[in-house]
Amino acid sequence: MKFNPKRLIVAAAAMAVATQAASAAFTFNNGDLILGFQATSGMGSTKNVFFNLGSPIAYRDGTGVANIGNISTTLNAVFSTQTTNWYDRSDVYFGVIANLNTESPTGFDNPGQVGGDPSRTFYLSAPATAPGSGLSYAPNTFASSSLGTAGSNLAGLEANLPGFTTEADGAAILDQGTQPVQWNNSWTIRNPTPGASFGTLTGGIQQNFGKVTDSTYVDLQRVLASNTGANPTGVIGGGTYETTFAIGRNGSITAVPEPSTALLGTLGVLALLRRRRA
Amino acid sequence: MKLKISLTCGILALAITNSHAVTRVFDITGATAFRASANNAIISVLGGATTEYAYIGTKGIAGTDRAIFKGTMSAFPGDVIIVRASWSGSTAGIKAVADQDSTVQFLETTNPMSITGTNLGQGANPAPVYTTAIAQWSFSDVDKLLSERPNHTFAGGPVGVVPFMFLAGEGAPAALDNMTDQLHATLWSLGQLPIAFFTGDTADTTLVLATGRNNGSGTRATILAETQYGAFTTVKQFNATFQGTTTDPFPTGKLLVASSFGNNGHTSNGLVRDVLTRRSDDLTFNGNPLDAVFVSYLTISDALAAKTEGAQEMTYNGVAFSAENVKKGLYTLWGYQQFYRDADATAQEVTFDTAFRAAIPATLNGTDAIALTQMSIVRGGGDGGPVAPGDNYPLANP
Repeated sequence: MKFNPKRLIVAAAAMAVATQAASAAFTFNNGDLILGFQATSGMGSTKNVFFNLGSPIAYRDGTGVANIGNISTTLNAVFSTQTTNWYDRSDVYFGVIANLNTESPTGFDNPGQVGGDPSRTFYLSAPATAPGSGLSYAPNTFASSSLGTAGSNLAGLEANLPGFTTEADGAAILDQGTQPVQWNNSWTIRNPTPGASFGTLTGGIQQNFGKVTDSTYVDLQRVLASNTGANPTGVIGGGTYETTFAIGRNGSITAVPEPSTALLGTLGVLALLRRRRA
Repeated sequence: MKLKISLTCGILALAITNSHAVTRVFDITGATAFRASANNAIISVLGGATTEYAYIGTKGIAGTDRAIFKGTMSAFPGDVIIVRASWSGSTAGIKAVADQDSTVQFLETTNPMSITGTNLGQGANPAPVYTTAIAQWSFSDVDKLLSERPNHTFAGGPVGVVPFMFLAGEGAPAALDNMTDQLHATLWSLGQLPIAFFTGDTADTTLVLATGRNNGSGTRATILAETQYGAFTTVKQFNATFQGTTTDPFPTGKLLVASSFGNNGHTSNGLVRDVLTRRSDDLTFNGNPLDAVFVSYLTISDALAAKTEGAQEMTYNGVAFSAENVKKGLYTLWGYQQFYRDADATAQEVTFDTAFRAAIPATLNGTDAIALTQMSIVRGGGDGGPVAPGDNYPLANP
């Protein structure tokens, strides 16, 4: 992830979202990156937790905020048991996904690119043991039509989001018991474990907790159905690495710079210190 | 003396009874797919040929969205019984009854009615006058579990079986004649497919466009459940404007401009029928010619009418619709018609419910809707569940 003054603006917007008063409607704009959590058994298995990470284009262009929020209160309330913290449960999963339009980029109803992303562009997470180490989706992993189907399935989940209540920490909870209709398009239903996410995303997009490390990672990949109108261009039907999201043991959500950028940043800081000492 | 007293008491009792004769109004909402059978059942229970009624629209009493009926019932001696129908969709109806929604639109009781049916707003007949009220009943093509009020307590349950049919729009090639679950899933998730997926003719560049009912429709929920697509899964559908009537030949009757419905859809089966019964030769999208033909689904009463108006019947998973194929378990594109009553009903409403519910099976014509007693197969596990032999299945039951 590169440094950019725009990041300050995005950071302010993200903080505004995260500090919405409790009981306000959950904020979601079509195309936003959604972070979703589920438990496949036990405590919290009838609930999902959501958090809006904002525009994926910001992360693609290096303007995404690094420190995004902290949802430990909600994760604790939903997934922690009396004996096991949510972070230590290997049956608690999370993933990230975004899609703006589902129309075919070569079809008669193609809406055209938006912000350099042609229709059916997806941003998907892949589990990673360290930032940037996740398995990249190979070219042609996903056919354009498969992305269209996944987009339709995602649209049902997205349509429910504005109806959720924002918790004090910015997260939202979907409860099968009180929202049985919305549960039909829940993160749990759309991410069977194991199984394809959103119907056609083979292998799924989730990572699970229960790791010994204090952060658990997913790499964000941009998947294109077409390079026509794409800026930057990318991998058709496969993934281009954009950033890494880390969920900390303390409930923090951060975007971790890709290794090369982190190295450059470190070198830059070292150079600055050297100049000041000189 | 005793006889005189008895006669006097009897006359007095009659007088009192007559003086208490009242007009009772019962309001029903719900499934548009079942409206032909429901309207027929209401006419039957209120006296048959002597029932007066009025309705709106241009598709007759069988295809109307609002109707009002007046007659008598033996369960309410001496009373005038008025039944008002507001067919707005299955799950919308369930929600309205569960929420005791007071804004359901009905025809006002002052509208003129006749035993031949007054088509309000048509010809010399006066325009319909509407009011709003709380509906106590809802017909539904689907179980309440597929509605927005799955946990609400209702009285009632299934009163018949309602089959559906997939159809291709007027002018479709003859080979566009079968819908499978796989084709349905792909077509409704993408909204469009090359026609070659249906016909095998890869030289044909025509697109097949999906159209259908709106979210909240029981017909839609039944189709999405039966095809295993998922009753609540988002679909992608298209609409088209048109000109001419459903029976006008091309180019007097034709589709004009296609547009995206997204996850939305038509508010009635009649509007789906409008799209399927006109040719798409001159169809455009965003001002550009669009080589496409529509595919959708209808209840049988609408489907048979649409066929006479040019739409093309499609088999489902290779099996043609017939009542016999439904009863034998070969044709599975059907659902149970539910008749739900709000659990918090008055004694009079319960009386009406009992009489009306008992009268329904005999009024079903066996094609558009099939009485449960004629079915020797059952669908287990709710809408979209497996079809299996019932306890009265004629062969050895596994």
